[in-house]
Amino acid sequence: MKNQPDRIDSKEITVALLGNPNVGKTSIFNSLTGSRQVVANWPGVTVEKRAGVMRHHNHTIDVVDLPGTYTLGATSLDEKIARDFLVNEKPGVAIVIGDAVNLERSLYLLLQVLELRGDVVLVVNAVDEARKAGFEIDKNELSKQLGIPVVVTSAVTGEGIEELKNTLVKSTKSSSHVHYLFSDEVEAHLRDLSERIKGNPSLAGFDERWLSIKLLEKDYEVQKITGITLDYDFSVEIAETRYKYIKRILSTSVKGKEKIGWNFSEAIDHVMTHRFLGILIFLAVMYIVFQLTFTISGPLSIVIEELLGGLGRAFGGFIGVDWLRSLVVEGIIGGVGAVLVFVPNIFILFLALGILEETGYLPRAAFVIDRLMYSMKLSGRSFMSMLLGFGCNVSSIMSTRSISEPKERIVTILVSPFISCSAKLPVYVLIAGTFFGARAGVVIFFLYVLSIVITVLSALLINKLFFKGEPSTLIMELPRYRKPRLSSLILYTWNKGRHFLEKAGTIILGASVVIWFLSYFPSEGTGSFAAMIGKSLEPLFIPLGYTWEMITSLVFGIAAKEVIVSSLTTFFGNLSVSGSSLGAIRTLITPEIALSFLVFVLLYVPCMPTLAVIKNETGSYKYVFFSVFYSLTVAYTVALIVRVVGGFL
Amino acid sequence: MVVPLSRMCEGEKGKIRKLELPPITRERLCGLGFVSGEEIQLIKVAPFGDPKVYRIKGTDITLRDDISMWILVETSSISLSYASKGDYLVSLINGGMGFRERLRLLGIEEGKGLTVIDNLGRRIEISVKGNYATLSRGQAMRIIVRER
Repeated sequence: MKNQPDRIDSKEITVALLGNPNVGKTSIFNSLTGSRQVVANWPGVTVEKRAGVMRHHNHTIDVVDLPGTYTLGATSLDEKIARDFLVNEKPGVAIVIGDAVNLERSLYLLLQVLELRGDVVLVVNAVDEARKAGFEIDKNELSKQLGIPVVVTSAVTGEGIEELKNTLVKSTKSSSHVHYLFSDEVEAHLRDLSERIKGNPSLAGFDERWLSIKLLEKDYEVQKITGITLDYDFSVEIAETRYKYIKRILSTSVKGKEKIGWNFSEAIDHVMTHRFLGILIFLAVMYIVFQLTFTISGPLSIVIEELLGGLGRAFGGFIGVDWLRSLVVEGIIGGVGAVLVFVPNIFILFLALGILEETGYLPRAAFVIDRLMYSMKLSGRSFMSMLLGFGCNVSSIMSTRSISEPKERIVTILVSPFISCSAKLPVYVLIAGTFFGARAGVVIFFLYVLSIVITVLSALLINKLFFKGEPSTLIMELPRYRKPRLSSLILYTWNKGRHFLEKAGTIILGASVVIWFLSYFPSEGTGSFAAMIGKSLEPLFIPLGYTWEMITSLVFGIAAKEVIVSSLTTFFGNLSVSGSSLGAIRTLITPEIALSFLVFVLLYVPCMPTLAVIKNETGSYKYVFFSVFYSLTVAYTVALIVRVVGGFL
Repeated sequence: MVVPLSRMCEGEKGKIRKLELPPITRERLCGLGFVSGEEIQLIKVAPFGDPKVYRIKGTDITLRDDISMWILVETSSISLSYASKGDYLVSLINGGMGFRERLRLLGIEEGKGLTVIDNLGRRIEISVKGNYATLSRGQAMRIIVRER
């Protein structure tokens, strides 16, 4: 193999990155691809897919970041994605990234990849931390033992990154699969199975030893494709053999022993996950994230609002045609602007989340709060997301990406819209202020409590409906604490936040134009299509007692909940009696109808950006339709109960 | 003795004997190093008693009791609250100065022996050097003993 030429420049190869969670895979990916990254979902599933381009000398290499896994089984979605990619897409090179401080576990994954295919490069990352901990890694020895190229890197100091790039563009053809022997009994079975598999032409594309091992491990999918089911299970023995082999390799290639005594990580953990302090710290961290997101972003939002206002006035003065001016100023700039003001909010939120994630606090927070969430068949991770929902449901749903369990993620996404987001608050203030005067505060508090109650009940119900009530499992590693690096924080924030900008530019722009059209034609105000919509829906709302103006505002409120306030003031402002802009509404409906209306606003259809994010994050319209249907049913039912009960009081 | 992992006490170490979990979870745990013969230590208990953090192969892994109850570990010591009738040696007391002092007055100290007379779940009756004492389950939980 020595004389094989370098890969031809024009031919692109694909490199797949594999590794356990928390080994610094993302840092290596960022170092290789820089900012040339694309984030998308894997087709059909909700797990994030990251791909990027690496240019080195004259070579162009596509780098695909596979989800973090511990094994190549087919039991979790992440593992299945990683394995399917290796089996079906056959990337030119597979890089397994290992953690220098804890190589044993990383090599377990490496062995599984080597059983499947050749052309593997082992990257031993975080070597700076290993040195600090007192380990010395002999990469030549490691490479000799495993028969594959080994590169030692540190994403923090940049050590080894160039060498890795050079290794990738060179031919990495390794001899073949590593062969370590199982017990005589297992090897005999493997030989028999290999013979049986060789006779089957449809399996020609696979490595027969790999298939045989997987059959002995009772791998469900391999049983399906080979049509062979064995009644014996050697999975435990096979796993133990792998670990024994790993121990042997490490005994010659890793020198040094971990220092005894408390290290930095343990000392911090003692406080962070402390029985009493842990909860207090968790609450404090949440409070700070919450405050940062909604106070720092406040002034920035005002700046954006001002800029858009100025832009509107400029266009207003510039366009002579009435309808066109209205379309541009009220429809497009007004509509899209209502959403753009959330941009600082979203970006600061993701920055804060990025810090929590990069430092390694997030899993600790999940650990501290897990027991409470377990009663809802959820885990600590989903709590974080739900809490953020009080600010904005869009960001809360986007933050569910850190939840690794797919079903738990879906449940969290579907219940998040019931958390009372900040956009609903103006509606509460307006209506509660008009009808309940001094007791408005009590009413608003009631709405917040109601929102939590409905969220909890919905989580239980949706879990029963979609997942037959299986509790989510929790197998979570608590990584070492790390200092976050600015460059990865910026990439993190940008990658996650830009989806929101894309949405504002597409879906929300479209919706704004439609709403503008409906309220402008055939004639503005009561003669518009909007009014017709409200009036035509009136029969449906007779039990609730809402007027057509209220119904129309609800329809428009689907675009963004704040729109309810502006539509109500427009409609009732025209009929204004005695000072108060909403005076007219008091003569039309009773306080219990007003309260029921507030409940309806709280619970009904998530706003358009939220629905768009639900579609984007779940990858399916099924959940969007479910969300709309379910929230309408809940809103109608609870609003009706409130009205009827309120009528008796 | 062999006990479920979920019954280990803070600070205790054991060796994994067997995983009685369905293949789905077992494979994941194998990848994390949960194979028989491996040493495991309970590092931390969450504020509400579940989940717990275990150290295995140098990293900390969080598991809930619903999984760890199916992992059997060989340990030479258990919490007093799980001890059946018999003679034991106190190997570890998890608690502050006050707790240790109260136990000392009862004659319970690290390295000293005690006898469990009855373990009725809520209360544990013991005798120390001929004197009888009753401990609550919560107190007994924090006392780690070894069979004699």
